[in-house]
Amino acid sequence: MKIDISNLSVLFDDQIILDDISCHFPEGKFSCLVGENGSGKSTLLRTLTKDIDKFQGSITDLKSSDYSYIPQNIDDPEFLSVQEVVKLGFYQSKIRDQDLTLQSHQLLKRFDIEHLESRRFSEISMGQKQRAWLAFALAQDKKVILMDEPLAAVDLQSRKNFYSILNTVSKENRTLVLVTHDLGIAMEFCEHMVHLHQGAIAFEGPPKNFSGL
Amino acid sequence: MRLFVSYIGFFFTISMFVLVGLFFGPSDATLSEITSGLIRSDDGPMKMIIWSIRIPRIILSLLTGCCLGLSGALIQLSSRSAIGDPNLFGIGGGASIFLAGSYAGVFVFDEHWIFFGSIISSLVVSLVLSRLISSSDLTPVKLAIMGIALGTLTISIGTAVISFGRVFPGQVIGLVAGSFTSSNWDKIVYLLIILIPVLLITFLLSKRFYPIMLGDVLSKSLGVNPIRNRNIAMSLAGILSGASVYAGGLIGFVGLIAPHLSRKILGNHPSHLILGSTILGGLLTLFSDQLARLLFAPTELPVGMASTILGGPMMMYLAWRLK
Repeated sequence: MKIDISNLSVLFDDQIILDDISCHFPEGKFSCLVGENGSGKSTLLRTLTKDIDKFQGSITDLKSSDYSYIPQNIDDPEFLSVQEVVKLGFYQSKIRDQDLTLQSHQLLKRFDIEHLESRRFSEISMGQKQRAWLAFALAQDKKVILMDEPLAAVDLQSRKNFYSILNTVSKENRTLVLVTHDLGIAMEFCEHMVHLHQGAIAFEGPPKNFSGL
Repeated sequence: MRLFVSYIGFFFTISMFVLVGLFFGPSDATLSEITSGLIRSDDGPMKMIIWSIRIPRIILSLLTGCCLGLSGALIQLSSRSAIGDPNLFGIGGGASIFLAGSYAGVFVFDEHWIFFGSIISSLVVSLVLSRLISSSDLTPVKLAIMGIALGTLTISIGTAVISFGRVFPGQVIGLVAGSFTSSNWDKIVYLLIILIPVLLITFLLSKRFYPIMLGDVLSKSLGVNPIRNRNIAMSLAGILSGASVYAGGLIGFVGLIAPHLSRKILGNHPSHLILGSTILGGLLTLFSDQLARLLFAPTELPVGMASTILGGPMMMYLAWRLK
């Protein structure tokens, strides 16, 4: 599923956050939405998820059955184990309970965290949490995955690993959009890049064509 | 298998406390007197004590605890707060204000209207709380602080109301610290009318309450409407809480501990959490009441005091682990 945004403007308290922007996120590719703090990245994502509903212009209408969204700074779910979080990802599917355990195990295994299955979610490291959230997103089996700055508190090597995982995930015919200000790694791993600057599109295209800020 | 053994364990523990409640008491009767009273073979005083005092008290404390445990589980599920408890968060306090008014003679109603009024008062507080939780940036910790503030506020108002009337001190203590001394069969019927349907509804909806634990944004992307489901869960919690305060006054910490114990013993699965919290709530309250009744017999402690001795340290432990 391709995401199109055309002539989108968002105002907050008479302040222009997004100023008449047009861009797209292609299907089956790993896209990065980059920009400094306050450039409007998160606002764009929140408009796509209908968290913000006052805007001008047109965007692809995403229903909750189309996308899974991993926001910035998610609170740890109280009480739940890693496996239970991933199992909740299968909430809308009609899989039986026994198969659920197997399927969530396989997802966790894919991201090398299957040994943490029965640990409390709040006890694992930041990098492991991000992988668990990705497993949770994949369990939902949606066409679009939106992630907002999931790597803020993780070391460089884990970030690189995570990005290459994202790259392979997008190859399963998913539209993957990651919001980040980590320009260096984004250029190394993503295939489509949108750069926002002060509420306007400064660059859109393959990262190899990007000439810097 | 493990689950099965646990449920059997609950059953035996409860049976044991029931026997304690039947056979021990201030009236110093022999075993045979109690047994003959129990099987109604004569019309002696023991029959009266057993059937009009001890048995109603056992059943009522058990049912009240079931209401508290289930209410606590619903609050913890829908608020994502580890220290969710109906009486700590002022939901029970809502009913206590109403009951205080009725004790103090501010208004005079029939018994069933008093029961109904208690439920409505708690329901109002629980819906206010639900509204607060649903406003976007309330973290579980903030919620806990506001809930406790609300709880203290309702108790102060209740105490203020009650001090206007010339009320017996025993009644005041019974309301603010819990008591089952005035148990009777009518109250049992009232409680069953509430507990059974609410338990059934909770079972039917439990699957929908579960994703709310992930937070509103994520549960929305799972296709669950967090605000509506939270309102339902909190309403059910309010109804149960009001019924429990009507039956036994404000009994602290049972709603807090029961779901935590249940999770430890039976795991996180929503149906076991609901059933386990209900049973364990009953077990804990029955135990607390027997403790309150027998520890310094013939003087009785308020049951809320006994449950707080168990629950206070538990809450400190939970708060210590809170981030």
